[in-house]
Amino acid sequence: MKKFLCFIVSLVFIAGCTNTDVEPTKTNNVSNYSADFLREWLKLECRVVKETPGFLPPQASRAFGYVGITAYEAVHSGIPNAKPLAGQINRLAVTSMPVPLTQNINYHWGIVVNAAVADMMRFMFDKNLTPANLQKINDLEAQYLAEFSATLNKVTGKTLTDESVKHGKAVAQAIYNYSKTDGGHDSYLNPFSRPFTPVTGIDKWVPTDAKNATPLSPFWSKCRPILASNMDYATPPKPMAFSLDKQSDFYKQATQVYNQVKNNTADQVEIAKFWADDPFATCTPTGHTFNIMTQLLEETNATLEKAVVGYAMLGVGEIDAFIACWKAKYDYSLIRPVSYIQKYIDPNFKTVIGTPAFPAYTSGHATEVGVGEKIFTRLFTKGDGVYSLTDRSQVQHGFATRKFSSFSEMAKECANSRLYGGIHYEMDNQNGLLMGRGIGENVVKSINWPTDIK
Amino acid sequence: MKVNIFIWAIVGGLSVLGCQKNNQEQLDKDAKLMATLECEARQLKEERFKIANDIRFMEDSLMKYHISLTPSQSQHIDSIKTVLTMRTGKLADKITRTMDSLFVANYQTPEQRQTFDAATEKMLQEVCK
Repeated sequence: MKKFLCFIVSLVFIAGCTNTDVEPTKTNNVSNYSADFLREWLKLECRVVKETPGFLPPQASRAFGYVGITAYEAVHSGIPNAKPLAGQINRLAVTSMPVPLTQNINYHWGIVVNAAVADMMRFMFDKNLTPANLQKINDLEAQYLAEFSATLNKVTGKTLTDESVKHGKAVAQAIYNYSKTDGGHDSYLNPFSRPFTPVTGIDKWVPTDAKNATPLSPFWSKCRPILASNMDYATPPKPMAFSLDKQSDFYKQATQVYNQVKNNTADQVEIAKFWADDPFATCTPTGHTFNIMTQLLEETNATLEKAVVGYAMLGVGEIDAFIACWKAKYDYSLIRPVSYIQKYIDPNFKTVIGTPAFPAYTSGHATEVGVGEKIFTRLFTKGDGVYSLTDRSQVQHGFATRKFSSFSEMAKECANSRLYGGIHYEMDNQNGLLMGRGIGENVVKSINWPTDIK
Repeated sequence: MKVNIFIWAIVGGLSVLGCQKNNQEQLDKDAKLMATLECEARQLKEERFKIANDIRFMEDSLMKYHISLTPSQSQHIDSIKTVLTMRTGKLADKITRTMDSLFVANYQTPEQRQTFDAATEKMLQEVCK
């Protein structure tokens, strides 16, 4: 009998020792979790953007941005000393967010983020989401939920799983409700805001392709920025005054584009194509920068903590970069180089890549990559931006890798790519880059992000 | 004793040489695999950009004379884009899976990946004409 009782007691101890919950004795920090699954979510988002009608650069920036914000907001209470974005970003009240019950529940932060991001993906693409992509989102959510749940104790795991899913979905719903009032909700259903009558004038934008008689998202600057102070960067210097005088600065800007295209090296042509991503299906400049973030997180073995902070920082910056850039574009509605050059310099001029259907000044690529530069600098360097980066994000689409010794070098090449492509004046790129860098720095310093990010 | 140390040194050196040879063989094998896939992707990329430019220049010519595309022309162009996008996506998935699994298995550090990139690019010059 004694031996039998000892045997039973031993079994109980062994069962206790095989408990694979995140134990209360080990602090349940987000930094204890792998970011592998979150990176896969962002890769899927790139694909969904490419395949969902209506997701052009401003709309894509919003979709990526809110997914990043949601991931952070869902788990900030699992990051020591972290503050929520609610209460720090424009019109997102703390009271509108669900309260995490971390005193009573040891959330599985992986399950929380998985549930939050899955819901936000469905919300962001909603009415135009293809059945195949909806299935991919559902399948990915189920896959990770099963993987995470399998690691939990069989007795308490179900409750923990349910509470973690509930919290993640509640956060996603709250952020989605917030997003619905920002002015960009459902814009993918009519991204050109038609009907719209563009302003006319000798210096004004005219259509640059057969399909788009009106330009993209002319009212995007009216969207609510995530950080109101980012709009301090939305008024770059005026573009050079339009002129047909061959001695004028404006004419020289146009001839610079013309001569660049005529004299591009093979590498410069490749650079123009690389940063344009693809003529038919691109996840847009924001997607490319998010892909670089994903690569950086992977190659630095970043934890889930760093991943949620990184994607949120970049998300805030990208949303506001496009609002700021689009403000400048429609403040001036400046004629594109191809239109000016074909009319006043050479009617046979052809650009290297297609000119997108919206005005010139400033460049969207330059603005958003400036944001990326500053956020990558903050997260992956000691503040000097020096990082040996091999951008592999386009290898699968037939591009060679591109190497940079700093994030600044990466950003400059991206900005210059639009000159090589023949679609932006130099001033569009340089002032766009300055705007983006300003916004990126502001995002890093104006929000109380966690310090000592693991 | 000294003879033993000498013998072990020889054995150790041969083992290292053997490992290096294996590593190089693995690198060459992996680089060839990636190079073959990347060659196909690069050719497909050039095809995409060429077709995109052909479509663009054709549409520009029509626009100059205020001629619109006919519905069937639009449809034809859209179907070309769809086919190319699907082919690109399929190949991209294959390359991504291959690259990810190679990186996890054999090339985890940035330095190892740069060595792999260089080997792949060198192999590309040979396999991709």
